Amino acid sequence: MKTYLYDGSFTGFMTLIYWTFKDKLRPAKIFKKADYSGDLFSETVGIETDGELADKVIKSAKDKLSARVFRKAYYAYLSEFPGIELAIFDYLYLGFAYKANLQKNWTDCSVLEVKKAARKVSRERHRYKGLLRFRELDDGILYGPYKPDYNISSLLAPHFAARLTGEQWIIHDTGRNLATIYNGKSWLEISDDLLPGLEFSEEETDYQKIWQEFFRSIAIDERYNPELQANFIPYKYRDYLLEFENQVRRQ
Amino acid sequence: MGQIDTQKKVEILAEAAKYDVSCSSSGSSRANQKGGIGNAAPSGICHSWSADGRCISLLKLLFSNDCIYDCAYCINRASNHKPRASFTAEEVAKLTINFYKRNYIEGLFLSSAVFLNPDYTMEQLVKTLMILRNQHKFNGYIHVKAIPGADYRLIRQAGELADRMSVNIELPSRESLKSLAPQKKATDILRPMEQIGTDLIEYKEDKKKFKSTPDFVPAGHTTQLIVGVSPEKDYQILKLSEGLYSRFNLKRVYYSAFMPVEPDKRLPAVSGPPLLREHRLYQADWLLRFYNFEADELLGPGRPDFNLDYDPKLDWALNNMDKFPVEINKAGYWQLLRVPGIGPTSARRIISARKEARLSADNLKKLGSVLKRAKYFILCDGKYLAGIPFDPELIRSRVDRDYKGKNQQLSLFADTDNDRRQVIS
Ligand code: SF4
Repeated sequence: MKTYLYDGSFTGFMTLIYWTFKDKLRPAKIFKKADYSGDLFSETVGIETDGELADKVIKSAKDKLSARVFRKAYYAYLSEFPGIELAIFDYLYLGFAYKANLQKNWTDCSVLEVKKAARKVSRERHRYKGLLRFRELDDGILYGPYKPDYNISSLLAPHFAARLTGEQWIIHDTGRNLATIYNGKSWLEISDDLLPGLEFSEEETDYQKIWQEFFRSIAIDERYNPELQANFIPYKYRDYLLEFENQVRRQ
Repeated sequence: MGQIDTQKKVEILAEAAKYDVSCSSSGSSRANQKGGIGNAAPSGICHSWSADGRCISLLKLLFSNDCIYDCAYCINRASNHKPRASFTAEEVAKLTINFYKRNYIEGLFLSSAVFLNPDYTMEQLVKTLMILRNQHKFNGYIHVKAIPGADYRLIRQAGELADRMSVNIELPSRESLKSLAPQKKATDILRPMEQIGTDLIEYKEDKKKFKSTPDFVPAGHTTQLIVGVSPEKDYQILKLSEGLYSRFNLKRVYYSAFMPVEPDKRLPAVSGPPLLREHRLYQADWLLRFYNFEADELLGPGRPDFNLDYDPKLDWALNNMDKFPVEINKAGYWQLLRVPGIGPTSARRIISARKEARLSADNLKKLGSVLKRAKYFILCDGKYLAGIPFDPELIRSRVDRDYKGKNQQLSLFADTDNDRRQVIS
């Protein structure tokens, strides 16, 4: 059994799926090239990313297995959990080769692992639909920095593209150094060292202050309940939330 | 008008709006249009949680707190010495857009004190909505209050622009209205509710025939009742809610534990808001809407208030032991739902799972039922699982031991999707 290496992109991973399924070979391990340090004993296969082959896999997963099943695989992939690629391999293989009904399967390990990871990613995505905060820059671009656990920018982008259609915005994953930029028509992901300097617009601090004031005023003193608040909004989410600025961080 | 000014107004008018409990922004889905900003997401999105643990999803403001009326329970009443402020329609619209594009909020919740007179106030609310929808092409969520006593044509106009509308009843009886809100007439509150309920149906019918018919409050209309400021018992309140749901086509009734504000000789002396009572009412309301319970099954003239020790379903079960135990392998959906510890999800799973094979106690656990609670009320393939004889007295003492006084700190607001799930099982 061999160790497979790919370039770290989803397209690369789907290309890997294409070749391994075609050759009916289950990899011993799957690594992103950058993460692989090599060991003496395993034989490695490097996969060359091919958009067309990847699209073939995606299309047939959607058609033959269902859009939902494919989405689970994609979400799970974005969790970036160690070893998740192999679980996704098994999950898809089960679906394609054995025609297993993945939606109703609650017993197979790889299916469970994929579903669990997908659920975590989906939850975080839903959470950040609310928790991402944009700051207005001097050229009117909206800038939203955050640090999610999972690689969810590509899941948030369609939500904000539908909502803030006429605006230009940047979703900045500061942990992964990834910037997702939207120009009013379409969006793409770039490395954040390509971002220009960030200067707030004149009104920006005013609105931040009004928001903080609103946040303070809306709480009912008689119902003060910071534990309940922390249940809903754990401290790790608060770093980029303007309303929690200047609040003591307790842990 | 500069920003500092707006900030000061937000301080006063958000503070004044905060007792209005409904914050949910779900139930509407509105797509963005070309050149527009915003859409309404069908599943509620929370943008933050305030220090009292409530979900913030809407910019909740009063247009004005400068009230001509003098309702005893309200901080904005005319006789209360408080700083007063009013927005302009443009100001609220601009603030909403700027909050929205920074992703602070899902939309706007606009209410108002009665400023000058009901018609003038309602006109200002309509104007704000028009600027937002027409000028800014705002397609996010809007909840607007209908001001009691305003011309219904204005209210209807607002309904064509908003996602949700509400008229707050606040006091659960005519007598209390008379004594605590002397200038408000019961008919001024009930008539618009009735008309909104009728319009909801008529617009829908029209829309089937004429595509151009505008939506009318697509997320429905709601109301709020204050609990503990007037002498009504839970039974009377729940009966009222039941009537509102069936007669006015109402989406939700919100309950708000009375918060003693400035003292007034018309008000009862209370030490704090009756939060647990409010919680029980939310739970019972849930039973009415989704569990097919009737108010008269839960309470009655002889037992007019909820037991604060257990949730209303458990309480009902303990008082109706002749209906138990039920056989898990036979009982129908609605019967299963009445078993303490079994909610809609587990009831559905039980029914689909038992088609494959008869259920054992182990299966039940896997299906997500709270067996710890349910075991006293069920048979599983003829076997009673509680480990004690089926004796109502004995069961009551076991339940007492397990539940009395516990779980009282649960979610006190039943209005976000998240806490909905915790409300009852
Ligand atoms: S009319 Fe409304 S705002 Fe005015 S005092 Fe009565 S409850 Fe308060």
